[in-house]
Amino acid sequence: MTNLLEVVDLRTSFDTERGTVTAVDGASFTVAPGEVVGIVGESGCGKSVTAESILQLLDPASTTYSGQVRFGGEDLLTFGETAMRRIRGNRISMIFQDPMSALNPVFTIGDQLTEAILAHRRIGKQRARSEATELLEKTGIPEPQRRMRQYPHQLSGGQRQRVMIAMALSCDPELLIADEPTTALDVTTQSQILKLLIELKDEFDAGILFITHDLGVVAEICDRVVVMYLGEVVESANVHTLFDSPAHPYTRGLLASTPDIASDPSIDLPIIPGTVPTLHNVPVGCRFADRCSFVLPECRDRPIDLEVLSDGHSSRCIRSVKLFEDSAMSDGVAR
Amino acid sequence: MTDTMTVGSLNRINKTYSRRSMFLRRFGAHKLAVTGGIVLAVVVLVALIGPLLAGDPLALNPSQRLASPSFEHPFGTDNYGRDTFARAVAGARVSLLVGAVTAIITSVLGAIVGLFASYNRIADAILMRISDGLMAFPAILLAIAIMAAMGQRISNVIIALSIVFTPYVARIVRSAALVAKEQTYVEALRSQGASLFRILWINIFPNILSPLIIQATFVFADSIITEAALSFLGAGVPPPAPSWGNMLLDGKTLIYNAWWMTVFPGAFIMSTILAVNLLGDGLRDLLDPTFNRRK
Repeated sequence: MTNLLEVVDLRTSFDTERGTVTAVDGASFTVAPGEVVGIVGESGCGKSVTAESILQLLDPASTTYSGQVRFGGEDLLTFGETAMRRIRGNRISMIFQDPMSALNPVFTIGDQLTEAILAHRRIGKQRARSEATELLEKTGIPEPQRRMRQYPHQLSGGQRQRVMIAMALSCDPELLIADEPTTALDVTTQSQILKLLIELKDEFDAGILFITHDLGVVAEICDRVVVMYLGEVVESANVHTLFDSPAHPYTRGLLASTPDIASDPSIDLPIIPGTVPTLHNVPVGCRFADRCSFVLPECRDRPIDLEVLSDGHSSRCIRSVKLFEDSAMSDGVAR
Repeated sequence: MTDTMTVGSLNRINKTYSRRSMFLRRFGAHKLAVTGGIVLAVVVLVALIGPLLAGDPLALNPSQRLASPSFEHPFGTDNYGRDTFARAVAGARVSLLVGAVTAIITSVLGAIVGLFASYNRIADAILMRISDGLMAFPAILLAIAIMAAMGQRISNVIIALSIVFTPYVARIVRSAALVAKEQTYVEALRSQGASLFRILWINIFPNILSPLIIQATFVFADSIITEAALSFLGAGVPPPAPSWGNMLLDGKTLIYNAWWMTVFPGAFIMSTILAVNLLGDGLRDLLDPTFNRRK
């Protein structure tokens, strides 16, 4: 199957007052049509920047992109602002983490949805409005007619996220980028929204790039997972492989620190010590070395390459083959 | 039966919470704002219909010079025998016209400059340095300089005041727009392929309308005061056309002989400015959610 989106060696750097920082450093991954690819990592790993780089939403005055973002046979990074505007919302849509502020408070839901539809399609206002109502209905909002006339503050968080999804799907996009779409929602609403995304993905046959820090969500909806750490892809695998035999110590740490309903509450949850270093002092060798419990002296000597372990599974760790075998053998125990 | 009743009461609840009626109800409860509004309405009414009743503000009557207030001349007459009431009422037209037109021009220019500056760093640097420069002059001195350069006409008073006050409005708009622009909905709009025009004018503009309206009321008050000061200094509305400021100038030398020549225009200026400021403060309390509401 040909890929919908191919990100090749994407590098996004910002000019700051303290010099240039590279928030995404050589990320490569693909999304196929109908596939859900998750990007996971802690805060500050470059997940959101990766998403925003695909659509070039970052401040053009201080951001430099390099590498390739291949979409529909073309490299989006060579596109200018006008050409990108035709892609955004039309062929690639995005939904955001905070549905509370992602809608303009001064316009009704109907006006905003209609506006989004009219931005890319030459149809009459009446038709756009009726399509907007249909979309709201599709996303499972009760009484879409009435909701169309309401303002964002009159809707709950879950309903607003449904409106955002309706807006994102308004032009039948090929790719949907979801930047932590369920983080701000409570657990029941979260699972409803995830279900909705999967249903709509099948109906619209779109690929989804799903950004999250919640491994539970990843297990629920993703086909493949890309783990990022400090701007780099550290592991990328099929979702089953990732959960059954994680190869990178960071992935293992993330999995171990996820609470399990069966785990003994009197035992402290394992954590990854320390925090993500700032982008101003990126280590020379393995970027995770300072927090890694498997660290060896040679980890700090030189940058580590992404190593292919098996088909579709790669990891950026010099010990990953060994660790991978360990966890494959002790499957079930490591988790 | 019961069903229709429930639906009916639900509709009523929805209606009660519509934005406009809620604003009007809160405005009604804000006593100072209501007072300001009423006083301003009276002044506007006087300016509109007063000149029709009060007679000619320019008619000289040498036999009635410096007459004290009487039934015939409720505010007395000035040193040329002109009716002070007729002049004060005609002056109200001039003052309100100058204030209103200046407020409108500065709002439009300030909105354009401020929004543009908020979105383009180079434009921001240039426009804000120009406004810093303009704001570095005391408003009245800058206005006098502009009037001296352009000549004494009411239209030039408006132009001079607009130049003086636009930077203040532009600053407010710019800072409000900088805040609005960081909201997720702006990024969401960009992710939908919205053009800069659509983002700035259709989506951000309504969100900065409240501070803009509030600032416009203060510009309205300030330009009435500044116009009065300019005219008092002889650099504003040229005589013999009456304005509150040049009436004060005429009355100044005669203040011990004819107090009514200064007291009445002074009272008009004071009550109008007070009314506009009360209204502006009230609007700020009601429209600006970040401004702490008392009670």
